[in-house]
Amino acid sequence: MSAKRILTAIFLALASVLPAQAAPLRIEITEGVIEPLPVAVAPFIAETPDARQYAADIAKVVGQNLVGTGLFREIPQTAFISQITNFDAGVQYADWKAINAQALVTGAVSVASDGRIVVKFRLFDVFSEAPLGDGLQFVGDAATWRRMAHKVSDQVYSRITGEGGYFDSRVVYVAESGPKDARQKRIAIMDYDGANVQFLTDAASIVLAPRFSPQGDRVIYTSYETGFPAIYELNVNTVTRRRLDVPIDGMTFAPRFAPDGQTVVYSLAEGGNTDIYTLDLRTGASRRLTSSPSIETAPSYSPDGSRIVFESDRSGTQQLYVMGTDGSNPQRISFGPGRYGTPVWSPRGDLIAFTKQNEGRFHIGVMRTDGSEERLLTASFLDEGPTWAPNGRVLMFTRESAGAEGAPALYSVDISGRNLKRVPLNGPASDPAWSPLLP
Amino acid sequence: MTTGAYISATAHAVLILFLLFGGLLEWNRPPEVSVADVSVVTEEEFAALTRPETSPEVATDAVAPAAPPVEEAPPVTAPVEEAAPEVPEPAPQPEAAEADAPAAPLPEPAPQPETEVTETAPPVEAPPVADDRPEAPEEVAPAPAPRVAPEPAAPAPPQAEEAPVVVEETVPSPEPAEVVEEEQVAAAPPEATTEIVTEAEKPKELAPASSPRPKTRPERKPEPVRTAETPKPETPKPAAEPKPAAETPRDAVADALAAALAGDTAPEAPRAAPSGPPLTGGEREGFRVAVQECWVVDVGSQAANVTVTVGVEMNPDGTVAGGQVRQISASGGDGSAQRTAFEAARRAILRCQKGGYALPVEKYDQWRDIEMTFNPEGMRLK
Repeated sequence: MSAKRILTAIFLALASVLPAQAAPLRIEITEGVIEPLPVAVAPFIAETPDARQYAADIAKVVGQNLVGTGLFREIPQTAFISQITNFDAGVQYADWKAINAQALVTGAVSVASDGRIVVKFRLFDVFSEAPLGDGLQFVGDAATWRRMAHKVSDQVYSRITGEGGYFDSRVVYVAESGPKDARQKRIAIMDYDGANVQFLTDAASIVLAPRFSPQGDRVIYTSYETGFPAIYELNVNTVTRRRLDVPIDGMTFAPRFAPDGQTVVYSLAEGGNTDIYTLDLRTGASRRLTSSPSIETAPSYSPDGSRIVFESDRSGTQQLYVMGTDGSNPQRISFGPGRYGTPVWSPRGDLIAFTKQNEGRFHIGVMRTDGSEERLLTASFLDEGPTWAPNGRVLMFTRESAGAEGAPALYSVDISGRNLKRVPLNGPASDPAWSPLLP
Repeated sequence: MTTGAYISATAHAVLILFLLFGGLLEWNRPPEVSVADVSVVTEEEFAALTRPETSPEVATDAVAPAAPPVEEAPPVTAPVEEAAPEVPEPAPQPEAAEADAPAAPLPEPAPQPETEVTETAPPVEAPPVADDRPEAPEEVAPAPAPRVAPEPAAPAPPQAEEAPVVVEETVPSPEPAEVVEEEQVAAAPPEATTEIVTEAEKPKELAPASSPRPKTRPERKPEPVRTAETPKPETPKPAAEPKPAAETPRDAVADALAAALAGDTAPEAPRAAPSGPPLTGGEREGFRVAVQECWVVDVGSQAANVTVTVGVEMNPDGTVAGGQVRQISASGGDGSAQRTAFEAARRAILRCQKGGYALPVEKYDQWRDIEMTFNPEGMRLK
């Protein structure tokens, strides 16, 4: 970098000596700051009297969503110089510049005659004195006001960051209750931020590792209903389930959908050996992908469906490998100290998240798909099971505290390692899986 | 035998005594008297030496009247545009929410009245605590902090509040002398570290053996100081009198002066600028630092892979002409990432210009056109 600077300096010196006065001054800026962007979310205007509560709630959730990313900072409304009183009126940019707001969100909510609510919003780039994209409006059932707030947030987020949002999404996880040695486990579903928790199964049998389908309409998970672990598929909308047609003489677990939604990859333990299989949901045909005498498990497809990453102890320690979807050409990608497990391919396709155990601590980390540029994001007594947000920007995982009183909880962290925080839930929770962005 | 024992005992006793008390000879040496030169100064000289540094009084004059009560915008009558523009159909929402085209096109924003709302400086002077810190050892790892910036800044000491980034309307105080003591809350710049420290990189020990401190006091971009706080009771000069530049080593003063001067000279902007000497390294560096302080990089985003070059035309007062920043080139990333990178660069330039960048007006010809390359390569996550 210093060589580059020297070259730049020489170039600039030469450029300034040259007589041509048209040559512009050239400056290279290589160091910026990493800090939350100040955003003003103006109180949403209630255009009908009965929309007042919705307006307040929606604006609040939008602010919380943006701040929760760690990328934005909300300017308190008490600092506002001018107020937005009319959704269609012009914006006094100078007033928003004065409080250093870089983006301004305005909105309005009304209740239509059929009882549905209409949410409108606009986004402004304050210092450029221009709107950022067109105004949009969403119409929906009053009960779904939170989803509409999430949709507004997704739009704001993606227009500012240039990337997809992740607010209008859900997470399935295992809700736990009871003492540590006799935990009851249920599959539960919640909004990405921990709101609207609903249980999908009862506590009669132990359930593990729920995973969303690529469309977000189904969940597959492992259940000990029959005494042995077996894979079930559950329809999220109808809450009906069926057992998948996989060999019943062994233990099947760690299922995950392929990007096509019609193939499931899973592990089968038989006679002390665990290998990876795929199941075609349309034909019911199973296919074996690995056949080494070691333990191969935790498979995860790449988003383009061309490769599978999995963990294996074939080298003597638990490491990560990438192979073709037919089991061909397995390549080891993890080489650091410690043990690697539960790899998950990012929806962007650029990174693989994993759990790492080293020197008595657990980490959630990410690496390139060839194993390079490994970065550990967390460290604790027990972190495991990462899952990606739909935009590949945030990871959610399980963190369990030590001791008899220790209980698992869900945490999330930005892939930069910043913004580590706990997902607010009432009881112990583990094994989260993030849905795609809802339609 | 006994003789040997006596000799041995005596020798040992002497040795022990020497070890015990021999050192006293050293300790008993009288302490050296330190001598310092003294000279007599007059009362005036002493006053001049100890006069607290005050912020430029000129700022008061330039700024205070300029903060008008919130001005009512001219009523905006939404001009009904010819045809509603086709809005891209947003994601369909079958059961929950439907997206429709906006009810009305966004009316043209009202023409901005010429408000002089000055950008008040959020981070106020750091308390002296920051100054007296001992030099930190070279290899101190940066502590986790909410802000990552080229220059580290220590966390605010408990008695100091972090400078509020949001500053309320500046109200000219009728009795400046009275406000001073109350308003001058010790405030520190926002805590910053030089690199991202993840949980995994934090030391295991909760209590560090030594407290990591920044090596030197961070060089902050000086900004105009809040006017309500500037006047001091003991300041002898009238508020309107600007200090000569020679007496004002801090750039804050230079900034305020430049702002004030710019305000005076703005009407005669299109002057015949001489094609003088090129900018000095310091002037160029000062400009670069001023812009980079406002360049917010989202290191986890795709836009962090984009190097973007933008061009601006400057006014003689150091502001961007027409607020226009144009993209010249961009490399890396997809279209969306390039657009985001450009917008971040544009925000940086426009946000930090405030009253105008501190560039020497006599060299205007040299910086009328500026091309800036924003290269986040060194900041990217590794």
